[in-house]
Amino acid sequence: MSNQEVIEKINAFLVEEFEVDPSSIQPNNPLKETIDLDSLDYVDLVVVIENNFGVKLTGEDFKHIESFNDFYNYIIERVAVTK
Amino acid sequence: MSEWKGRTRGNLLGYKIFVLFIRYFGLRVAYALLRVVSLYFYLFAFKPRGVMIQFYNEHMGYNYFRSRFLTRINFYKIGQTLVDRFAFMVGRADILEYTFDGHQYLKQIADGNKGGMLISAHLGNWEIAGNMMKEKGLTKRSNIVMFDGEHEQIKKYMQKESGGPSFNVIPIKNDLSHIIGIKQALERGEFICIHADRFLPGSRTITLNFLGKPARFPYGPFHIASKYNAPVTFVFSVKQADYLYELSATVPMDGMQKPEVYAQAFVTILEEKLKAYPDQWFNYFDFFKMEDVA
Repeated sequence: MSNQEVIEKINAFLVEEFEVDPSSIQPNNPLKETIDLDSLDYVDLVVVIENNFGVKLTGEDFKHIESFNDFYNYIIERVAVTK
Repeated sequence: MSEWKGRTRGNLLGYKIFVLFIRYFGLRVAYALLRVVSLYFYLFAFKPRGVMIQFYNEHMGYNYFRSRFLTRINFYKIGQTLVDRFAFMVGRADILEYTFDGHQYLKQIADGNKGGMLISAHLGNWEIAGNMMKEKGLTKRSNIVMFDGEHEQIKKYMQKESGGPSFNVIPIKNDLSHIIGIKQALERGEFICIHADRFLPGSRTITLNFLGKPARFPYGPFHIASKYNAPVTFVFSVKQADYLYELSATVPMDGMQKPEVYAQAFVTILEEKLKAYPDQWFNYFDFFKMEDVA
């Protein structure tokens, strides 16, 4: 899966599963404030990421994610590691 | 039920006195002291007393005098659960005995590889169950998901006296950490123990019929059970007599059912337990309040 495909897949489930406004998904926008997830949405997010990319999130890693770009890069790196 | 603020009651001196009594004089003497202390709270803790009398009278259908009596017993019983907890921590709980209904269900979950969600309520004494499960050979690590509401001084003191609790605590925080912690524990095949009768303002809730009236319950425990595909059992540990506990676990429900299914099953069991042990209901706030406090 190319980096662009990973990004498109992430954007697709953010829109479809979490009802995020597509226009607000910009690489430098703050992730948590923009998608406004509560802790139960995180439960879903963890499952969706694992099902789509085979990546297990860890709390420590996720603390450093600020923007959409950080989130994309994190998933891309983890997908590369798990290949 | 949104008035609960996530803090426990009691002060450090009180805890120290009880630990001293348990350590040097045993549980019987500690219970005798508790009769006096619980009477003091019954006389002067106006708000929780009023809430409990109203709960028994209006929601459980007891007459006013019976409701007052149950409230008096309730204050003593919650004291006993705390004293018993200290007794376990300082190794003086050998006098306590218990029966275990549904031990095989917990064993069945422990032998699987998906972990298990053990859902309970503030009815009886869950921490005692944790200790007794270990004595019954259920050595699978237990993780208790809880609001970290105990006073820091008391926590440090109990840590010093006992070396800390015999289970892992996953504190509920405003970040992702407890969600990840729960997921990782289930992946290791461990037990997740969580109460499903309290929530903090702003949390997602589910409204269900409880004792004939709508009441709000936290959505989180049932949502997590549903999404993380872990078997679910409802576990209670109630006092049958001063030195006898009854532990119970229900037939496990398979994972991946809708959260609403788990929630309804939980409320059904909770009502049964509450009717059998009304004096061990330890929620001292208006359980039927529908709106959050700003």
